[in-house]
Amino acid sequence: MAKVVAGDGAAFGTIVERYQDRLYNAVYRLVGSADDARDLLQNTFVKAYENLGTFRGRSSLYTWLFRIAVNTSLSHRRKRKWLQPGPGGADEEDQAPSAQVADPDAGDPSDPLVAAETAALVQRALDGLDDEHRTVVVLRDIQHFDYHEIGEILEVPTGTVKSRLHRARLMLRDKLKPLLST
Amino acid sequence: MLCEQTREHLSAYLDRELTVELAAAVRDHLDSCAECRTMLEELRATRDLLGRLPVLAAPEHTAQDVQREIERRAILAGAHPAEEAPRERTLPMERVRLWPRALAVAATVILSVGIGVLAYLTNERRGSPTQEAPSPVLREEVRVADTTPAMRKATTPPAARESSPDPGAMAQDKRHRGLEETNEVAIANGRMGQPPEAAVAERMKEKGEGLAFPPVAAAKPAAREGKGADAYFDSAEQAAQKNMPKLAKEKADSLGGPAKPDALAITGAVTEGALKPAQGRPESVPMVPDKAKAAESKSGVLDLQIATAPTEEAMGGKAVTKETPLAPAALAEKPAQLPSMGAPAAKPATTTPGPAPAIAHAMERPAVVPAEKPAGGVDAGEKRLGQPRAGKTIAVPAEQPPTTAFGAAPGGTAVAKAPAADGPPALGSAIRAVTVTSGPAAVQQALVSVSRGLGRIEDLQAVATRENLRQAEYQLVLVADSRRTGNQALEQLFRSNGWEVVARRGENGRYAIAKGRSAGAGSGTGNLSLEERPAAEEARPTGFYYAAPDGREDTWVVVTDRDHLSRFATQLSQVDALTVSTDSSGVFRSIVDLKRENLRRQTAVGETGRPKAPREPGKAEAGGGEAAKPRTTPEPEKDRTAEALDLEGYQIAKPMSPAADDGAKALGDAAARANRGKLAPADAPAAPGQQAGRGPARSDWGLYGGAAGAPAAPKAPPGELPEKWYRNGVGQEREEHYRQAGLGARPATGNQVLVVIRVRPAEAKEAARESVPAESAK
Repeated sequence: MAKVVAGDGAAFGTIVERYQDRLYNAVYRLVGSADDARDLLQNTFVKAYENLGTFRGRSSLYTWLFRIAVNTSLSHRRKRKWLQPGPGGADEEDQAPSAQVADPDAGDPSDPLVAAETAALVQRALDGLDDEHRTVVVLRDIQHFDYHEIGEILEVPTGTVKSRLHRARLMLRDKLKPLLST
Repeated sequence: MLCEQTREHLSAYLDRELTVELAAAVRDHLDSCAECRTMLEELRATRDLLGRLPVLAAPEHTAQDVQREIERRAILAGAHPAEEAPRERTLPMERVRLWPRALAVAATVILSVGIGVLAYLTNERRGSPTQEAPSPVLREEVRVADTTPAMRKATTPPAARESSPDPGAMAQDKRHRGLEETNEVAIANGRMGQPPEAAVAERMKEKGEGLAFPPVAAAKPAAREGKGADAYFDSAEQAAQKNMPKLAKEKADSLGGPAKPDALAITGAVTEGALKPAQGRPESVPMVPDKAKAAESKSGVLDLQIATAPTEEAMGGKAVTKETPLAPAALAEKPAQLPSMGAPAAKPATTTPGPAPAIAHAMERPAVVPAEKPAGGVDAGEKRLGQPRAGKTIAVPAEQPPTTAFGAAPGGTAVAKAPAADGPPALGSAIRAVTVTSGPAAVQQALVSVSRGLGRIEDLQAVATRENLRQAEYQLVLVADSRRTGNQALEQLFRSNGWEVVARRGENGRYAIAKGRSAGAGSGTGNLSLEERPAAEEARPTGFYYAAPDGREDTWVVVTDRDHLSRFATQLSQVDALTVSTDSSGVFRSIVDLKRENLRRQTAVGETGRPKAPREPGKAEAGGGEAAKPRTTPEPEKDRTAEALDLEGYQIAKPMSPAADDGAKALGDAAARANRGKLAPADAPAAPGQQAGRGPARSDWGLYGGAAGAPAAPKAPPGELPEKWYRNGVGQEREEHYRQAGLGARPATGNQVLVVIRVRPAEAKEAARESVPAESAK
């Protein structure tokens, strides 16, 4: 890390290699679009490179990168929402994903098709959450950060993380109830 | 514990984030409450659903894309990531100071990246190569998307990728199911959403350590160069075989040296070729400098030909330093600018001793320097050329001495190679480049790049900020009845001087390359043959129409040489439609005096002919003599100091050496050839001694040098003019003067200067008139 801060491009390249998948995964789950996620991932690393000087080592590099990624993604989402009101917003949120599950009991979770469909529904349910709840769920249940780390990334107290996560899971539970039985 | 309290803690209980005491209390409640247990199971199932989502891999080439973006921003910002970034990080005030520039750059970056991404995505969805792309950047991206199988894989729709469960996801799922076993496991699994480290290691092993950040990747600047070059030549080979030797010979002859091709041409359908892999070029050849030669042998296509400067031997004991004050920053800066991430071999050459590799730029004016100066080495180059203000001298290691090799992007988008086998003979390895990254010199550089078809308007706009323009040394403020009439009069004056407006703002507020601009013999620039082109461009100033953001004035940005500027100033003094405001820089303010003198003579003696440029009493002979005979020895410092207090300081348009004078004469002759068929300067109010259709001649110094018989001008009060206007002399002498005066180095741009001309409407005229002597008001 010291090398990176000192301007060692090679070290930064290693960082990109090491974290790109995890960051991409998180960003994709936050924005729900592969195209956007690719651009946002790139922007995240570019911002990180440009702001290496602000990284003081208080948090881990991993959480610092995630902070940038989350902020970038949420900012992008807000802009997108502002530019394209309607699709992806409240309309989708109101739409119950469960209505699209043809026959949950018939599907074998190990079946790739079923798994893909399930994944799409879960992603849709995620998209239906507001930013702060979606973010905390992604960081915890997909990226498996602990509460303290999530608090660092989002710069909120751990208690807030806890309550937010609980609410987010309850909302998701309601949205995904048909899937839970499987 | 009540149900309500318990439920609030269920998620945290699930995640083992409760204290031991609280967890025990929750557990106790759960043992006795089925409803809460159900809720816990639902939350667990919800969490598991999320945990089973497929783990997506980042798109291929993410690292390369990141690197390109970083490079691109660095180029646009004119910064050197390897050197300036750390300083910016440690000096907050520096960053604050850079904000205005950063904002301007950011706007451009966003625009450019947006266009690029849009085109990229569009093309990606279409799945077919773009036949025509508006910008090199775009073309490059398109090519990567179309020709790299790995990229296609990476851009597979997410749904398709998700549908195939990958081992990583399965493994994660298995891990996830055991999440609750212990806190240790939970903590460990806190990282388990990550793809397996083994996979990362495997990928890095496949790619090679750091390959994701190749050392050079100068494809974008190369492609950008190629954009302009495409307009000029049918093919790179044709240009190299037909024109290069002639050009080189002409330039070498003009320098009095042997007929060695020291000139260079940036030629060839770089991006065109990149889009046509069927031509035999390897689809994806990772290009790094030391591999350029290999690529050359593979492709056999001359993509970007850059001849090197001749060795000292070749130039008969003279070392020729290539100045590239006007080279596109993207071309010259990039190789050394790269962060060289993951590429140990890509150390910036600024630390490389020995013969200085560098990048030469087309059509630049060579400056002859004494051979005893150290040859090679960046430092030597800086000494000779003078370090541009806030600029950089950079060099790139040239593994193959005669070749200035630009490595291309990993996709092999563009290749810079040595001249073809039957092309000009190989020259020395000592080539160097000076590029300017900020300040007015950057505007000058960008403007000339655009005028040559090598730069983009966007890049010019990015640097033509108010701040940069305000720093320009030559500021001319004109007041007209209206902006329209003022602009028309000004443009007429430009045309009479043979200046061309290369870009102007259209009705839609966008800038565009001026249509139908010509640069010799009535033909468009694009049709100008290679032999004519350099000389014509050297001699031809360029203009850039730039609308000031405040909307109260129009701004013209002009690059011209001092000779033309002198003549222009003289002519301007005779144009009634334009009033020179005292807001102008000192040399232009003296036009007010000139006008006053003209009016005084007209009223006292009558109209006896064309007004002549005034001369300072007692200086006529000396000035004329110097005009006729170039000064070869620098004046003592005290004399220059004395000059700094009177008008003789304007006599700056002097060749600095006989050799340079010969070169200037050759250029002037070439300019005269190029001017054939053009509106001769004589059609407009001409400066004393000016010859129609001629390029800058030593007797055409007008206001600065004056001509024999010119009436004496009233001497300007000492101290009235800004000190900067007395930075007289050219070349080394001027540089020395600057250095000793502690003014910092000046960009060694030969005789060319950047002039910012502002045209203000009538509202401001009254105020300006007050500053004009009473005679002119009559």
